[in-house]
Amino acid sequence: MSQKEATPEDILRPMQSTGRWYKIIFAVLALIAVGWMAIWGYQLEHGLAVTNLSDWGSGGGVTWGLYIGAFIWWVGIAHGGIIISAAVRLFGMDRYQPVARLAELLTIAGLAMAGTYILVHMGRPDRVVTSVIPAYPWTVQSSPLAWDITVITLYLVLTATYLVLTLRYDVHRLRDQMPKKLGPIYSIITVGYSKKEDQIIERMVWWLALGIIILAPLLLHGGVIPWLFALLPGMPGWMGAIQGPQFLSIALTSALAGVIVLATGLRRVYDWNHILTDDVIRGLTLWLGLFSLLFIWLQLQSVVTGLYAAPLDVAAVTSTMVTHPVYVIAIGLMVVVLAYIFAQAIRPSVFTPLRSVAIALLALYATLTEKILFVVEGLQYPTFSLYAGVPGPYFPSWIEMASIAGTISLAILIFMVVLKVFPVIELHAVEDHHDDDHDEEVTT
Amino acid sequence: MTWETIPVGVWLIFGIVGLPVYAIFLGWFLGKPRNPKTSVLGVTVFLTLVTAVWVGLYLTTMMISFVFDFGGLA
Repeated sequence: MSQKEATPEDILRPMQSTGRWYKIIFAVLALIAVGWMAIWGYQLEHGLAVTNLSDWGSGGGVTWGLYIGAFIWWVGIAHGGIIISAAVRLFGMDRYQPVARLAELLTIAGLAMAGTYILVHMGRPDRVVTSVIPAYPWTVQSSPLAWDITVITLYLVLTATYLVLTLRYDVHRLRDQMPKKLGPIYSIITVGYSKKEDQIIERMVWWLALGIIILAPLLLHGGVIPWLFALLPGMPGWMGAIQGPQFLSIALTSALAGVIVLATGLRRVYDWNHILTDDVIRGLTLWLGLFSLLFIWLQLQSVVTGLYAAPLDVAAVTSTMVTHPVYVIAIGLMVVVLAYIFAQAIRPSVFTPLRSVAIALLALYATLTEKILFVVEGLQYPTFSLYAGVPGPYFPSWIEMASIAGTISLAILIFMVVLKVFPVIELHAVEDHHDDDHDEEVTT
Repeated sequence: MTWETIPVGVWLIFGIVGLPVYAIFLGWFLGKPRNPKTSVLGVTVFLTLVTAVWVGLYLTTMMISFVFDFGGLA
């Protein structure tokens, strides 16, 4: 079967027309986002007491709950960008180039939402900058929170730098066909551009991909974020060196799931089946399978060592975890995800993009709930029963749950806005076959 | 001299976490092909974005303080 050839016009289409469905979806998401901001406003007005997260005197001693679980989840999703960029730039897996920029944008949206959760969890968010910056020379010496802020800032900024540098090539060549009213933005992005820089920029983004592939997976989600928990000896559910690999496996699972949902959704909306091909979606699905397997395997390590002949405090939290419905459902869903991926690997006719999206959504749900449970149970089962007299168990309040809908809506809105500003698929990805012809056409 | 002479966060952040970032900048200025002007452009983009993130965060949080009457830095 012949497939139509991808052209630059394809990737420009989102900028050139706005359909009725775009407007309806945008309006609905904006409504949800604004509604959640109003709820957050209520929380700011009355304090964190309106959630079930307050002080040590309530909620079973849980002061970190859904907000911190969701923060970890969003940072995990943000890893999609570097996985795809590394695959393309470092390992030469060019077939993933069409999803590279989408994944980088997912990184930026994911990190923005993770940062939002930090603000949301602060009683006085106005103090975040004025307390972090002046105290940094001292806090960096010993505070995992300061390390966390450092690495998240680096990851966000390096990814945005990557995006800006790769956009220069595209914007310079496609500018005539992009919205005129956004001209000032394009002028800033392409300031000082010359075609002689293309080869150098390509090498610079190679260095960026190399740096970020070490920084983000190994030192952020396999480093400073798990260390927020793993360095606390009084919390047996959190403590231990396995948290690094375990956090990373969950992050990579959610990241691939996010990229699959995004890529498949956009290809359906913009008729990009010939760019974001079945082959690409199937490849991403197989990667999801690998990371899901690592996720399950590392859970197995925790469960076996936590139940066999573990110290009493570890055994208490592990036995509670493995019987908790949230955990059982999360792991059950991951088994379903793996079963589908295994089935489509041995029988390709089982694969459809829609099924891959469905299992990606299951993986996203499983990773979110697992992370929230991890945070909550770590606090509920400390080594010493510091909070034995604290009344009530923790269950996320409706205010906290609304934040999930709010941040997901905000992240999608970011994409919907970006779709109108610049191409979300790299020009390189569609011009490989008729590179020279096109260059002459659009730059003269 | 023991490792404790230098606080853990200092060697961790500037000695280990910093390595990939140093590698990027060294690669830009010493790797090939290279052009100092383009490398400086990369550094400028990086520093501009760092500033934009923190200034943007500062303005956002000050706006929250104003709207909810937190009293600025009080």
